[in-house]
Amino acid sequence: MPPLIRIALLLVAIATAFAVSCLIKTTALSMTFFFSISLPAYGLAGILYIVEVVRDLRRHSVL
Amino acid sequence: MTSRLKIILLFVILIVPAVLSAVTTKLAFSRAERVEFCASCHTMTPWINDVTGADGDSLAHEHFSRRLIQHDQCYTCHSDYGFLGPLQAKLKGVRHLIAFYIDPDRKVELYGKFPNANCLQCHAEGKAFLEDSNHEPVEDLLSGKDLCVDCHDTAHNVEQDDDAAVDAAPDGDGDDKEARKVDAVKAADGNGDAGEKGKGDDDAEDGE
Repeated sequence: MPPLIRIALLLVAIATAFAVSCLIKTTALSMTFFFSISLPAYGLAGILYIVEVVRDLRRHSVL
Repeated sequence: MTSRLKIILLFVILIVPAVLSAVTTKLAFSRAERVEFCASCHTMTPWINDVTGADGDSLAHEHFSRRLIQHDQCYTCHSDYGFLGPLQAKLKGVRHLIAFYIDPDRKVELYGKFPNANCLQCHAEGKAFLEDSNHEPVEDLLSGKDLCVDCHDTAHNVEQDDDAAVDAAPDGDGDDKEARKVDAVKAADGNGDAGEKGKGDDDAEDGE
């Protein structure tokens, strides 16, 4: 598995942990963690995934 | 990577997080309006106790105990009435958390004067409000020239560390204001109508 995908998966795991904690019990702290950590982490993971997909396509001369 | 793994990764990294983010954001925003959410921050405990306690004579307690506001009592009074009011209230909440982390001993105070619009969103059309001579001229209250909390200043009965009672507004000065305040409290005690009570109080740590 490419390193970028591994990092993306790690980010998704961390972000999901905070998102689930916010879903289970919404407090000022869990909500702050969700908005300040989970959402940026999800965004970064998505970007890394797309970068890897584009790289893969280039490797196969599709782009 | 196999085709199957690529599809799994598409779901795990893009689709599931997008759905989870949307659901969590929606739920968190709606839950953040509840009193329980405000109570989740221990700094607010004295104010929550004042509001939800068995005894009390503050405006907030009366609004809560008489169910003059049915749900989300903190949020109803403390989010500014207007299009961006709810969003600003939530952003302030995050700022309060940061401010408390940096300086836990900071006194909880309002940013500024408690806006009349927050009271008048319910009271403006009330018969009791409009017919009360203490509110004359009503236009001054509607325009914000006079403040509701100038007279209705016992929004919360809470003492902070320096033993200073927390009032929503500066003390009323002059006999006239005092007399009006007494009248207002008497009127509030006399009936359960929402039309007599203003609100105000704490809500924030100033000057972040």
